[in-house]
Amino acid sequence: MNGAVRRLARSALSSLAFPSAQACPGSAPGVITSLRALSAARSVSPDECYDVVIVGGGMVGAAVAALLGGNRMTQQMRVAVLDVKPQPLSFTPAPVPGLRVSTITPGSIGVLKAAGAWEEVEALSAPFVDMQVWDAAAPGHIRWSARDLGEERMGVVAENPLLQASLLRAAQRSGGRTEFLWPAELRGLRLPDEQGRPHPGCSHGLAELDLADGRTLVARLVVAADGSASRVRQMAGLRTWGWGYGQRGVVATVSTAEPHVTAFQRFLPTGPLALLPVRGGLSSIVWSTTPEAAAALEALGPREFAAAVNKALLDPPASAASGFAPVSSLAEALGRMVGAGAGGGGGGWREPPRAVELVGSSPKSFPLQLKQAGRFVLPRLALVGDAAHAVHPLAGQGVNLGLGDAGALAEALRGAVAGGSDPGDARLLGEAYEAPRRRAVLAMTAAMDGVKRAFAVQAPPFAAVRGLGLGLINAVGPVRNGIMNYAMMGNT
Amino acid sequence: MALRPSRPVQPATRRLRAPAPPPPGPILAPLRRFLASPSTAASPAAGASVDPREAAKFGALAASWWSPSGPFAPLHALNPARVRFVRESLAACRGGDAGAPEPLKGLRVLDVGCGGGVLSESLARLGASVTGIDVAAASVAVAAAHAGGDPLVAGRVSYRCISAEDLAASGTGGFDAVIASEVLEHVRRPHDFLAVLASLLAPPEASPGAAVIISTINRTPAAWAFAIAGAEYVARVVPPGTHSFKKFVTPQELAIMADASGLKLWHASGMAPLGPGGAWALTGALDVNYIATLRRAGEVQAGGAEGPGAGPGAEAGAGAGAERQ
Repeated sequence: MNGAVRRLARSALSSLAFPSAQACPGSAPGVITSLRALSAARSVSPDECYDVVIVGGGMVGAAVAALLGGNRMTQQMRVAVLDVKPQPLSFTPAPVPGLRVSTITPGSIGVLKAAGAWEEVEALSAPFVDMQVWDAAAPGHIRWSARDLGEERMGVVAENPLLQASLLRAAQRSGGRTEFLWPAELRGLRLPDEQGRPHPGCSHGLAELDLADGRTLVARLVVAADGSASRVRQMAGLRTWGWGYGQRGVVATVSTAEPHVTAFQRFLPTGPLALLPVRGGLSSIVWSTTPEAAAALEALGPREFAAAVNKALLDPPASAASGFAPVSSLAEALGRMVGAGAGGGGGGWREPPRAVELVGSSPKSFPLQLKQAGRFVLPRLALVGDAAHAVHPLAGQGVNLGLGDAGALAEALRGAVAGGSDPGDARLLGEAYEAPRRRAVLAMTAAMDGVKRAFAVQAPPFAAVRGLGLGLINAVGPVRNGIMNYAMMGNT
Repeated sequence: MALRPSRPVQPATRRLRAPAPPPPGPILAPLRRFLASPSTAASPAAGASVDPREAAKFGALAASWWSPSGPFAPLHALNPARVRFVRESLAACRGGDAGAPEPLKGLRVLDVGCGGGVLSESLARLGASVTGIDVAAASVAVAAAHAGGDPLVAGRVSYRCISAEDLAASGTGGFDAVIASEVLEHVRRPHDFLAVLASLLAPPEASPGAAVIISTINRTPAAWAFAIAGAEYVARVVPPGTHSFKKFVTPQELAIMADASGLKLWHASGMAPLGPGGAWALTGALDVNYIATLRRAGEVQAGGAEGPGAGPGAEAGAGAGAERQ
């Protein structure tokens, strides 16, 4: 009987060796059943195990580490952050802000505060209090103000290296058990199977990571924060889906005739162009366009580039000359009507400041894409940030989604500790992390994709309808603010 | 101290021998099936051998204790809620810090009816040194094997295939907390069973604040609808009539049984799948599943003045008083 029971149990946990586990013998009711793993695989002591190994010390990986270290329930967790290269723990602002900037929403500010990184970010970033979106092919605009939402600001524009260094520093000083392991290159990954059964090469049910220097780390949870080309995701066999947009985003920094606190975004026939306030009274340009136009823009001189920006932002709507003006006038009239009914409202048009010239690094461009992993979690694995989803940067939402991931994952792990759960438990990760994040990411990608595609249609009648839509949305306060809440995340 | 029951307490489940399909339904169904599973659940003292066919059936079920989508999935869903209650309640009993990552550090905890070790492992992660006991050998084997998956857990739990009364009779005891989760409604003489659990606590001088924690199901129309009609007639988890509504235990009855065992029902909380996304949460309503802490009468002021709401448990809804019922 004992043999039979043991075989059954063994088949149930096929690869987990438990040679000394005793089925209860009928004649000796007190025998303690215990397990001593004696398989050929290396046995592991509790002290060797990490609770969480974060692969990738970028903004999102750093945020996960800082959040875990900053919360009383999770700060006893042993956390390692790996990266192939040493990552900077301090940020020295250059005279001109770098090209890699992010628009940080109130939801993300909440994450930065919880992580203990907000003060540092706030000191070196630029706030914006208004946001204005309009069309190049039809009249009408939408304007949101932080005032309407009862907020002090609508967000800040921060350089990515500032965000990363602030979060890494916060992780370091949090009082948690965070180790930075870099340079450390991941060579191999062993995870339990989908049912949570141990990997055949492990003497335990945890995850193992092989590093290029010969070390092997044992972890209850592996967090893949290694970007859109995630090695961890590939090693885990998770696939992605998505598409490119056949477009490139050009980023540059410009000086303007006067400083401003509005995030401007205009939808051009070739894609949206954003003018965002950055540190030092300067502005960041994020211009999505065709590859040809992107190449041409990158080749322009400092003043020519500024002239191109001004033309794109300030030229009157194309439809004014297209013969569809009556439709547009109707739209405006409708908009006024609804606006009158709604009371209060979106605020008037504000002319963007004129760009004067390029400053700092010369413009660079990158391809726009949408990519998502089919699954964000497996037993003992969670994907965060671009490793889980790369959203083309139409509204600078990539980092916000990633910080949202970090917040949700840290909260899930806090719940795991409170409830005595295994932090690598796939059920817990699926319910407390993947499900809410997948909803957020799908909604965001669909919205971004939809806006992008809607504005990509340039036939004049469509453009007129679009103008109608913007006029109406701007006039109807609750709708507008609902959209804004959505765009700002964390308020939905 | 050793309160021996006049008759050994048996799992009240030997009645059911017919195998049932894996139950998708309510939380108690898998446990019932587990307890109902026949000869592997034989009393160790009886030395019954296992019919290989039955063993195979039970082996298949035992193997699914930890399957994320298996018949015990509802138990995994319930588990965090009852663990949070234990965290809050034991901290309140002992004047500890419920917000600490490992609030049970240094405590010896007995998990009676541990099954595959779902609760035992969680208690170990909260810092406790856990002994899990169960009368089903296959379940104990699975529990031991699974604990070996994590060295931290393996170092903090041990499992034994033995009944509570045999454990008490063997002179083992001295636990800071004795927990019987979803077991009471299945035993034949719950009064005696509770007395056995009380006898397994460490003496007051060695462990002030020692407690017995019971989770079970109330005898109310709602409980009937959820656990009997739902499980037996709608989900057809077990043959109709197998489980008797009569055996469900009301909080008042639990309080009376506690009194007879020298314990006082100190505080209680409902458990229901009412949290975000259908997660199980601690609630103030004790009308279906509930969990209660019983303390030594001598350590609790008369009249229950120290009861509900006395500790941090109240914040998590753990302070819902049984008296309200």
